[in-house]
Amino acid sequence: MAQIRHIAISSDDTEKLARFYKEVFGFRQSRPTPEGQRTIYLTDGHVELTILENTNQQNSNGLHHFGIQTDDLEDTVRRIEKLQPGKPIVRPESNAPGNHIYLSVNGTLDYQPVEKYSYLKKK
Amino acid sequence: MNQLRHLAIRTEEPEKLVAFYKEAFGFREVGEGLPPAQVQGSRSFHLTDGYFELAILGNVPNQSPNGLYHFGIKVDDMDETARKLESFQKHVQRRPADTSFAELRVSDIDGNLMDLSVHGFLSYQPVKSAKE
Repeated sequence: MAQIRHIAISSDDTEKLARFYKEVFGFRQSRPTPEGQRTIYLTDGHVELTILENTNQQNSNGLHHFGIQTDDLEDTVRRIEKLQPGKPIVRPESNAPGNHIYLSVNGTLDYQPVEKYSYLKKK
Repeated sequence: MNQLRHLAIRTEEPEKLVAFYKEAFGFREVGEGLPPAQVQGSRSFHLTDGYFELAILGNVPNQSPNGLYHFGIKVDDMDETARKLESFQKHVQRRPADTSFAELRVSDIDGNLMDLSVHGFLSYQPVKSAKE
């Protein structure tokens, strides 16, 4: 069964917002912030809440995307392609409009590199 | 432990989006909710992966953008959580005790909307609650 395991929020002040979620809700840091970045990875133990650094302020702060851990990535992609024939499935760095869904068979609370796809709604 | 258990998306075509999440990811429907009074005529659906609720809310009046809207946290102790919130921000307004929705709607210090609930987001049935 696919599982929703990741929510990402974009913020100008990631440390301040992470402190809010730690102190109010007791979330803990799930993995270290990569060197040279300010993104902070929190978790409640099951779902990851990522506070993304809004580096160049080219997008609004706020809810950015969510992530679904899938049992079989290729099977999921095939189902999406069947539901959305002719629409591209691309890497998630695009700023195209739509609800971005990051899919991963490795989940988001470990350190393994993940292969990501983005489903983009029709403009 | 407080738990992230809810995410809400607004769309003009909730039935279409619900079908997508059910067919692409196998999410199942847990109940069809009635919308708040101010958005009568809209349609909302509640899907789950068995743990987490994904709410698809009809955006009929189009007063706000479609897309990711808010997320929800199931809290162990609402009073304690409210006290901690008040240490960061001045105003924390609760919903009526008999609300069929989350008991508290607040924003974090960046303005991101959150629903907070002790009863959670899967254990209540919006349709049944609204009819009772």
